[in-house]
Formats: sequence, C-alpha cells, structure tokens
Amino acid sequence: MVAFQMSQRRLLFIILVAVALLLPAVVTPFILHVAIMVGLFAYLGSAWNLGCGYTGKLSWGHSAFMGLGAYASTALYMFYAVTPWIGAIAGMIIAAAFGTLVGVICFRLGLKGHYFVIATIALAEILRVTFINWPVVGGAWGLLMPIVRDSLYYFQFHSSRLGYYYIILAMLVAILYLERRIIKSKLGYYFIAIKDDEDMAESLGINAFKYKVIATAISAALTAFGGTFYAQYVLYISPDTVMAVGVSTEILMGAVVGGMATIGGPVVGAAIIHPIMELTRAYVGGRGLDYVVAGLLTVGVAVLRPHGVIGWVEKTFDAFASYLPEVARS
Amino acid sequence: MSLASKKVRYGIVAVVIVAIIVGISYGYVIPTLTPKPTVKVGLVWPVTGAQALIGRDQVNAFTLVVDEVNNAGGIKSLGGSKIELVVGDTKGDPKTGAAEAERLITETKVHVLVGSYGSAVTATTSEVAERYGVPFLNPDSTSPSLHVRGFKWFFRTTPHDELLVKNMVDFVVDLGKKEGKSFKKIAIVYENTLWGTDSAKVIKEYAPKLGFEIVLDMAYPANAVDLSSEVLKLKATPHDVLMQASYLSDAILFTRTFKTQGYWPKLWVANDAGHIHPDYVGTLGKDAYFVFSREVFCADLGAGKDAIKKANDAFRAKYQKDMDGTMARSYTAATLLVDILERAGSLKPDDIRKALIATDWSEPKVSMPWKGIKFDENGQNVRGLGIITELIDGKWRTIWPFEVATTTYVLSEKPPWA
Amino acid sequence: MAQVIVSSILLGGIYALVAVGFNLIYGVMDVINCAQADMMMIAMYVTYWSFALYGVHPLLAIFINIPLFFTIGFFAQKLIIDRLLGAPQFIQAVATIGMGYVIQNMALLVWKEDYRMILNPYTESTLRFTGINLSVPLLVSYIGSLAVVAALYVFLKKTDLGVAIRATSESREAAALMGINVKRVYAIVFGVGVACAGIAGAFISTFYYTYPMVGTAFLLKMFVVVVVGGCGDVLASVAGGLTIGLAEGVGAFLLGPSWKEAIYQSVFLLVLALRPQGIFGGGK
Repeated sequence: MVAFQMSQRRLLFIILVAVALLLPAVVTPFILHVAIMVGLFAYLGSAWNLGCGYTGKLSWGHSAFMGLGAYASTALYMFYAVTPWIGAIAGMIIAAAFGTLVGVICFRLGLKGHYFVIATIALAEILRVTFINWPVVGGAWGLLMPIVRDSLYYFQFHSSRLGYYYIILAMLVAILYLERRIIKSKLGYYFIAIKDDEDMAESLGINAFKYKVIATAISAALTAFGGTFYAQYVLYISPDTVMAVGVSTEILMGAVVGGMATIGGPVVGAAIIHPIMELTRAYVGGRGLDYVVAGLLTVGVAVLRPHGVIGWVEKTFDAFASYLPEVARS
Repeated sequence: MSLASKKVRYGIVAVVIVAIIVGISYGYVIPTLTPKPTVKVGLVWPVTGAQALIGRDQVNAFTLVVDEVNNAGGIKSLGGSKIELVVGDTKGDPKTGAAEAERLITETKVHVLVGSYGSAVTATTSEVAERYGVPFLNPDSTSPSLHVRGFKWFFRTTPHDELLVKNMVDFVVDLGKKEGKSFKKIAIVYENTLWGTDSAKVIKEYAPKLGFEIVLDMAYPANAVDLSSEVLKLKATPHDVLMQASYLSDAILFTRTFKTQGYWPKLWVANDAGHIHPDYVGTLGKDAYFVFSREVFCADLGAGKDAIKKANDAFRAKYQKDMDGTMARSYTAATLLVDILERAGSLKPDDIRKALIATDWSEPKVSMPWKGIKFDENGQNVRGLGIITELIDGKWRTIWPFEVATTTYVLSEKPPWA
Repeated sequence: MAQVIVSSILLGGIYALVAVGFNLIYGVMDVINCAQADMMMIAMYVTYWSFALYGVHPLLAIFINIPLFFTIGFFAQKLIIDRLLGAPQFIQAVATIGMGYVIQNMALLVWKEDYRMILNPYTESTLRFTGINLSVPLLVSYIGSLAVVAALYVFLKKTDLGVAIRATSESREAAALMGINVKRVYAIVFGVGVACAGIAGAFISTFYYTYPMVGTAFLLKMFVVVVVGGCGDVLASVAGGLTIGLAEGVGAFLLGPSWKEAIYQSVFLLVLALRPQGIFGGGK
C-alpha cells in the first residue's frame, strides 16, 4: 500500500517539476519575472528557515546577510572584474562571518524570544546605516551594475530572463535538498532539540550555543548567495533596497505563511504571497492594494492556520495525486 | 480500478494538454491577430509611495498635452491615431520600476516609455527599455551617471546635476560680486538617499574650485521625526551659505525647526525637489518666503516667452496651481513626444529613434527656459539650462541669470517670520 | 549644547508616549502589537480632519480620540486578537504586521499620500527661556505623555479594575479562578492600549506631519524604547524613551545625523548586553 501511494505522489511531483521546467515557454515575460521572484523568495525563505525555523530562534535581520552577499559580489565585480560566481562565494564567507558575530553576540547574551528578534533588527539597521555612510560602496546611492552581453560567466542575461529562471530553480532545488539532508542528519536533530526545549537539550549534552551559532552562520551564507542573485537580476543595489527591515519582512513572510520548520513551507508561502502581490499591483492598480492583500493573507493564516498553510497544501497535493495512475508497483 | 476513474484520469491528462496549448497560443498567437491602431505610451512613475504627489503631478501634466492632441485629431502622420497612456507604478523602488517597465513593454506593448523621476529607478527602468529596444524618454532624472552608459535608446531632455548644481554655486559667485559681499563658507545639508547624496557630491567637487570652503557636510536620514539636532549643528557652525537638498516633508520640517530654534542663514539656496513643490509654500505660508532654489522652470517666465505661458496657463486652468520644474519638464516631454511621432510617421522603434536623434528644437519652441532641444550622441539634451528662483511674496520669481531675471532678488537679513 | 539635551529629552517623552500603549498590551497579554504605530497614524488623521473640517483644536481632539480608539481597540481585540492568542508569539507579531499593512494601505487608498500638517498659532508657538528654545507643542506633548503614564500607573495600582488587570497579567489561570473575566480584561486592556495610541496621535499631530506611512517611522524606535526601558512596564516607557531620545539627539549632534539610527541601535544593544531586562524591567 505504501509503495502504491508513494509512486502517485512521486509522479505528481515529477509533473510539477516538468511544468516548472517548461514554464518559460508558455508564459509572458512578466509572468516569468513573477516566477523568478517567487523562486528567489522561496530560496531566501528556505535559507531563513534553515537558520530560524528549525532552531526556533527567529531573526528579523536577514536582509543584512542578503545585502552583504549582494554588495560583496557586486563590489568585487565592479572594482576587480571578478566574476560574480566567485564574488558570491566571497559574499557567503563574509555573511557567515557576520552571522557568526551576530550569533555570538546574541546567544552569549542569552537573548531569547522577542529580545532576540529586536536585537537582530538592531544589528541589521546598524549595518545598513554603516553602508549608507560608506562612500566606497556608493553610500546611499548604492551600486549600479554595468551591463554586459548575456554571459553565464558574468551572470547576466538580457535577451531573455530565461537564464535567471533556471538558475534560481537550480538554487531552489539545491537548497531544498540541502535542507532535507541537514534535517535528517545529526545537525538537524540538534536544531530541533534546541527548538523544542533548549534546557533539556543542554542537559542531554548538546552544546546549544555552538549549534545556534552554526545555524545562523549557515543560514547567513545561503541568504548571501540569494543576495548575489538579486544583484545580478535587478542590476542595482543600495542599502535601502537590500538591507532594510522591510526586506527581512518579505523574506520571512513566505516561510511564516507557508509553515516554518517544514521543507515545503517557505516555497508554498512564497508561491502564494508573491504572485498575489505582483498581480494585484499590476492589474488592480497601485495605491497599495497589494500590501492590503498581503496583510489580510497574513492575518488570515495566523488566525486559521498558525502553523502555516503547508498542511492544507499537502492535503490538496495528495488529493490530486490520487487521481494519477500508478506508474509502477513496488 | 473502475471505469470511472480511468475516464477521470484521461480527462485530467487531456485538460492539462489543452491548458498547455492554450497557454502557448495566448502567449504567441493572439497578440499578432489583433491590430493596434493607437500609439501606446508607457508612463513609469511613482504614483504611490513617498513620491506619489510628484508622480501624480507628472502624469497629470503629460496627460494634459496628450488629451489636447487627441481631441485635435491625434497624430496626423499616423492617420489620426490617438495616443493611449498607460501608467506603471514604480513606488519609487528600482526593482518595482523595472518590473513595471517590463510589463508595459511585453504585455501592454507600449511603443515608448517615459519616466521615472528618482535616478536609481530610472537607471533600472531605462535598462529594461534598452534590453527590449524601446525608446526611453527621461524628462526628470538628474543624476550625471545616467547618460554615460552607452545606451542607444535612452534620451534625456532635462539637464543633469553637473549643470544644475553648478548653477547653484555660480549663482552664489555672481551674487557675491553684485552685493560686494563674500560668501565663502558653505554648509551643505542633504537627505542621505541617493538624490541628496548626489547633489552634495557635485557641490563638494565644484565649489572648492571656485574658492569656496565647505564648513559643514551634513547628511541626515530622510523622514526623520525630529530635526532639532541638525539645526543646532547648523547654528553651531559659522557659515555664509546654506545649500540644502531635501524632499518635501523634510523641507517643511526643517523650516519649522529653523523657526523654533531661531536660525536664519545669510543665504539659502535649495536644490529643487521639496522646496519648489507647491505644497511647501502651501503648508508653510509666509514662513516659506525668501528661499532661493535652483530650478529649471518658473511660471513667471511666461511673461517673456509664449510657449511657457501657454503651457502654464493650460495647467493652471485644469489644476489650479502653477507648474513647477518637474511638472513643466513632463509637459515639455509630452510636447516633444507628439512632435517626434509626427516626424517619425511610423511606430517602428528605429523610426522613432531616428526622429529623436533628428530633433532640433530652437528656443521659442520649447516650453522651458532652455535654448532648445537637441540630443548628443549619448542621448543627452545639450540645450538645457538652469535658473535660480526665489520665493517672493508667495510666488516663485526668476532671479538668475540676471539677464533673464523677471525681478530683482531679495536678500533678507531677517527671517520671514520676524 | 544644553539646547541639544533639552530638545532630546522632549523627543524622548514623545517616544515614551507611543510606547506606553504597546507596553501595556504586551505586559498584560503578551501580545506584540506591531500595528500600534499605525493606529497612532489613524489617530493623527482623525485629529487632522477634526481640525480641518470642524476647527477642533488638536488638544481637544484628545477627548474625541480616547473613547473612539478605546472602542476600536476593544472590538479589535474581541474580533481579531483574541483569535490569535492560540498562535505562537512570533506568528502573532507577523499577523499584527499584516494588520499594520492593511491599515497603512487602506489609509493610503482613502487619504492619498499627501502630507498634512496642522497649522495654527498654537502649533507654531515657541517658548524662549534662558537661551533655550522650546517648541510649545513639543513641550505640551511631553508633559502630556508624563501625565498619561502617571494616570495609567495610578489606574493600575489603585483601582479595582487595575488590580484585576495586574492579576491577569501575572497569571491567567489564577485570575480566572478568582472570578475575573479574563476575556473582558483582555479586551479592556487592548482598548486602553489603543486609546493611548489615540492620545499619542493627537499630540504628535501638533508638531509633525501626517501621512499614511508615518507609523513605520515610529515603529522600530518604539520597539527599542520598550526593550530599553523594560518590557511590559508602563513606567519604564519613560525611562526608555528618555534614553533613546538622548542617544539620538546628542549622538546626532556630536557624530552627525546620518548615523542617528546606528547610534540609538547601538545604545539599545549596549543596554541588552549590560542589563537585558531593561532599565526598570523586572519581569518579562
């Protein structure tokens, strides 16, 4: 029986993947842009989730890591002609270092709950203001990326946004896979133990401090890579567009709405919130209606399904799957 | 497995296949079937968010011209085609602006894009236009970095900050000569986002060359709740000239704080934006008087130039206020666009581009105090000029260059609230 | 320099005013109301329109705002917040952010993005005093915020209802066992908290401009003030406000306004490091 159901789900999953791969062929460039944004925030939400959802230490300052990644790769590219791919790695290292710093400061101080949240905001704000006052990286102006021909090496695509789409898809798949591996490993076990009851975990011999810092550093590095992607896609970064609190909110909203501490949660959440917001803005017209919708969604989810809508989505997924033929008996 | 579920299965597969086919045809086939008789122009401006007032005003100014042309029979060389305006909301954010630009180009299929006020937003929206080969008309962004990107499709009518901010400094030099006073020490106060920082940068580069000393270089966070510390710092630093770059809300708050703290500069030159907005004097009334501002337009120049008078009268008739520089540049861009479409006689991008390059407007034709409109090889209008205006008795008057001044300036030792 | 300090202290009082309501709600119900500042924004609009349309002096508008916003808060709690109480705290916070988005953007839809300012002789007046310039509206708001805090303190300590509220904040279960209608207490507390935002809005509109996004300008600072003073402690709001006001004002004068935000955030972190429960905090 179990094998029977798994192949149905697997088949549906494969169909969805195929749709995702073929999507660009049938949609307008605008919808493609929306899809890329969904992919990006699903990725960022997952990175956030890895550090925060599973450990229960919820950061509201992740835009700092995204900004660090974006600035690192862009600055290296603009000033030293280093390809953004390598710049991204530099960004990841810098972000991991900053993440470690954040973790050490916050966890050494024993900050919990909302103290931690506000502290992460404070640290992110300090970073943002520092960048605004730092002329070398453009200060408040930020950095305007010079445009080059379509080039995988220099991570820019212009004749069509296809390249970006497939890259973010690959990034998303990679991070989900990484997430799965970590959760099933000892590291993941420690994270969840810390989230459930930190004191208990300590008494079992788990060095909570060490693992919380590790979680933050990993999450930071992954978020930074997303920052590089953003920089290469929008081609313009500034402290207010990549390091602001609002960006942190956008990152975690998908994860919260979809379901923290689940693999599919951030993806589902991003897939719900972003298209609705973009399409509302584009077709119903400005005046902030898209934020109203996002706000209502968030409140609705919090009231009806505080643990995220992933539960519903999974049920729907199974319902669809049951219509599919078996592909193979085990 | 029952027969029913087999049917359901095949049904679903069929539906999915049909959906894919429909999707492809929607994307590729349908657009080519329906003909497009109108000229579609995309306006990419901040109509919501912090700069919404300005974005809306620009859309209004542009629409004024287009409505007039449409009512008079549309673009004659295109067989009377009407111009259809479609607005994309940038929210003042570069990423959103780019998305909107792309949407307007690929879904609404606009023939021309106009925008986008904030220089950072224009940077990304014009980049989208460049990618798609759509002519981009920029009436209002003044960052000097925008026209040197080697773009083919970017055309900017407004002079940029290198010229305009230099005007501020040149004016102080001229004023000093005329008054026989020395205005050597400059305090620069600017909001710390890209526009303010850009303006300050030009002042810092140019002023010292002319013998000025920058005694205070003060960036402040935009939308600050309280500006007492900033004003106190000004009071604590002896200076002759205050050069300020603020958006509307900060400009208002600053002036009120000046009043509370009893601060009044010997000479105060603002850099456009907040201070010239009608709501500045609208909110502050008398307290707003005697500030100088670098500008690109002043309604009182209508007395000497018909094109300006006609433009401002039309705007005033509909919106009950005079145009400021930003609205006027939007209006002028619209008139230019109409002219270009007439000359191009076609909606093909290359033809529009040729018409843009061939533009050769002389002074009387342009509804701005400019020498005309002609684009250099970077797409920059080389006939643009700036002026300095002063708020006297509730109205903005042109006071520099002294040759085109409509009245003499007032250098007041006492603040307007004294 | 004395002027800088005085101006900063006044500023701090204002921050305290915004934080008081939030602290009350958090202290009793453990709910992080991120929409507090946006409710204040609505209060500013109410004050403005009372002035613009009916000529009501902003200080008098306070007496309109108190009952109005108490009612709004009371029903908001019953209809929305109550449903959220089962969710984890973080989710509650995110939900109230969602509420904030809705409020902000509905305001944007209805009133557009224009800046509105109340201008009458009162809001323009200044007091000059031994070389120090005090903006009268700012001064009055400062005194007002102290008065509000004092009133709340007395209310909580001396009245029966106040005692009931404090009991509930200590322990829901114990309070319920003692016959206190916990649900009603929560609704009242939320109502009072939002009423505080209403008062704050009226005061602030006497010296600052009103626009839909004004809430966001105050929100972050409010959090910092709350934590620095001591979470959940009404009196502590004053201490927190004062500290942050001084840090911001003096810091901006000495180091340059562009670093303002970094300065007060650093002070915040310092307080967290040295005295995490806040200057006056004892509990949460």
